Amino acid sequence: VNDTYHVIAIGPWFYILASYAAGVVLMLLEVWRVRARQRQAMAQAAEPLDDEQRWDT
Amino acid sequence: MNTLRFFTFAAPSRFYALAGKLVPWCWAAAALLAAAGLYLGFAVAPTDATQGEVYRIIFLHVPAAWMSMVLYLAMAFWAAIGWAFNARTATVLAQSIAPTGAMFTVLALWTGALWGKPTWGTYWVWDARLTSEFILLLLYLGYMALVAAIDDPRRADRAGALLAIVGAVNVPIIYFSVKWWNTLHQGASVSLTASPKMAATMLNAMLLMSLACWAYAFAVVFMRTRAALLERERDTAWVGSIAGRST
Repeated sequence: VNDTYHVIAIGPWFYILASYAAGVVLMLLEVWRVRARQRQAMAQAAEPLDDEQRWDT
Repeated sequence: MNTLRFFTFAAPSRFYALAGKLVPWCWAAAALLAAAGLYLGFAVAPTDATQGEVYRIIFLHVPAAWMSMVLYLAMAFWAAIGWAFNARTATVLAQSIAPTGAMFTVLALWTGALWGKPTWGTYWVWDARLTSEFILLLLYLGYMALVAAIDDPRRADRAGALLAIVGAVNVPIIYFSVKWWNTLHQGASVSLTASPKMAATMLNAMLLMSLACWAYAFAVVFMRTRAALLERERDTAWVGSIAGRST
């Protein structure tokens, strides 16, 4: 039996699901990281400036 | 007048506000387009005569591969603009595009491998298309690592821009690799100069998913750019007023 034929027979939906699941996971992970970065950036921006930063400003 | 209006958004504070208004619309567009594309791709498009069901990976694989190339060109363009005109917003935009471009490149390689196994009999071969796409991933990672490794932001911007611009030569190599070399990867099914080689429902599903990926990329890049602008402009008065800084 041809190996390619055998793999198709065990189910193309495994490959389809693994593809789309990876897409969902990667996009959710990216959005989660960006949102965390946004929160951290806003929190840091809210902290008072030290003397050196105030001088730069 | 219109040109002047365009350049006013180069100011970090104005771009921050504009991007903030656009992000929800981009998310809405991404959700609607993805829902329509997935419906068309999985419920309407017929089973392929030769590949069976597994061809449906195309609705994610091709948009991801297109995005990986287009985002690299966009990154190189904004990095060049930032370098040439010393424009901070353009540079931050370029640096914000890189992780999304790298994500789409990983997704294109991953979905391609999962498509390759049942159709070619192997997850990976070092053919021209696959290898040049892998080099694109290395360029994205190299760009991000280079920018992160240099402490002085202006030097990091210039070094990153140089790498991004030089690396852009890889994009046409990826695109034309299936024509220039004898590859296992198939040729282009969709071209600007020829009629598509696939059924209309399949093509429409793929185009809808591509637009969804575009909308997603705009949304996430705008969000990252806003965060990066807050970090970079932290000492300025406009960031202080947005964050509610007391002194």
